[in-house]
Amino acid sequence: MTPYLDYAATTPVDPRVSRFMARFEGPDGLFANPGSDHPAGQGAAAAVDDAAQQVLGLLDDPGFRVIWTSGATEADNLAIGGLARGVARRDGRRRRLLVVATEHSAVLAAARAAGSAGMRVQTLPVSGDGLLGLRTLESALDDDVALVSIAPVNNETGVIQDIETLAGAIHAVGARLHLDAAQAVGHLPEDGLYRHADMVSLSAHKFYGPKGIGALCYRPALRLEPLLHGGGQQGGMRPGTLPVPLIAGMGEALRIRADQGERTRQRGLQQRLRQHLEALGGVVINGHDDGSAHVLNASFAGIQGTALRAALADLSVGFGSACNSRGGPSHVLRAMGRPDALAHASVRFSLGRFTTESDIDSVAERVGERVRRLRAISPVWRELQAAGSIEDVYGVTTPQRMA
Amino acid sequence: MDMTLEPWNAEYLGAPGAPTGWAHGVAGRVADGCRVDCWLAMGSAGICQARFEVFAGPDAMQAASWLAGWLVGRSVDAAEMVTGLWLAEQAGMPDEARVEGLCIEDALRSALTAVVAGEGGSEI
Repeated sequence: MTPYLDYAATTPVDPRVSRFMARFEGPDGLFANPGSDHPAGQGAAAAVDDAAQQVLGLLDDPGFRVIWTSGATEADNLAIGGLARGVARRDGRRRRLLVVATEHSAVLAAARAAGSAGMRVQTLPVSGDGLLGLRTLESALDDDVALVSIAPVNNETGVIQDIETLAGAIHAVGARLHLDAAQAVGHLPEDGLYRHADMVSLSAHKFYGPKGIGALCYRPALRLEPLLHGGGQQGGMRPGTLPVPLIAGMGEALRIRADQGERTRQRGLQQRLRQHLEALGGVVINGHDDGSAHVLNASFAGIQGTALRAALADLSVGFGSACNSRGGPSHVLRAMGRPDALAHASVRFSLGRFTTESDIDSVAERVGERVRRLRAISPVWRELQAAGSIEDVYGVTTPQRMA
Repeated sequence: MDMTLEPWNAEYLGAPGAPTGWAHGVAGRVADGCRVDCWLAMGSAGICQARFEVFAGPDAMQAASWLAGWLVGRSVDAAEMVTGLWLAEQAGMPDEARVEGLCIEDALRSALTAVVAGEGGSEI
């Protein structure tokens, strides 16, 4: 089996989480409906409460309310769509949503959909290294902004935004801050990060929990409207019988989430991979040098994107976002000023808890072999080698920092 | 054409080791995701060697490799009859890749123009 370097798309369930979840299966397990008043139901409800405490522990702020969802996509939709509906219902004057151009498609699509509730969406540009500048944000903020949505860690590039600084400007105009933290859990020291937020989206399968469970954490003062209607569970905000084993698995995955030691180990692996790739030459690293240790996104100059994907088809690496499988150039890399042809020839390597040095070396060797072969038959690579600048050959003016 | 080879390892791909004396044609744009260069070497009986450089998808690589093999021993007049559509059918290119067949045709025509103009492509 080839090494798996697509942890940003999804992680395997940690065996400890699997064992924990097994308690909830079978006739002797905690399978009851947590909405039932009988002892079995209350046992299940206690397990849900325990998991909620793990969430609040992550956020380091008991002032959040936890709504269980199917994952971060639903949480993003509830955060943005629920807030937009709330604004519309009370005919609020704050009618503008700000989203960063590099956000996950769940956020961008939810923001577009909020237009039907009368919201206006403004997309904030980022710099070439993927960072949202404070001045850029401040120039867009005013007292008509209801919500700003930012991912602390970008899912394609691992770029880390300065949430503390940005949050101050957002709250100064009375707007709310939503963090799509799907890629942040375990990859950032929490350090009070979430206290700056009004809403936080989480997804268990990004941190070694089960697929199909996530959460939207929100401040009770926010007036959100539900997107679904049903039996009144979760205060009517997200009705439906709670999937107790999944919720408990998410709680356990949070309890054993990566610590600084694991982040340091992954940073070493990331640097090892980066050295391998940069030794090939003609590689553009997409992201900031201080980005998350679990993601390395690289564009390979001189190679056409479809050819690169075909040549690496037997490797478990990411091309753009697995959550957006339309196959065109990444909107994230385009927003960072990469020309389409270079954005298309990009690979997201994402590392995780079970990645080893041997995995890195094996993948790097295979990537190197195929990149060299594709370049050997490429007229574009020949021209780049003949002292052509990457900007000239790709027909762009935005500087591309090539290793 | 050896179909067992991965497209990027197919025959006749890549620039000639010593391009002096070869006619060179270029077609396509990086921004469009398709750029093909054609290299032709002429002998007394017509085209004696052909190579393609391909910045395009795997189907274009296989089609270019097939065409390079087909061109050897052909006259300039015969090579001028090649069209992208014909190539796509001969090389079994899927519909979505046929635009790359047109790019290969254009690169070949560009190289043939260089041959006729005496810009390379002399007997080697």
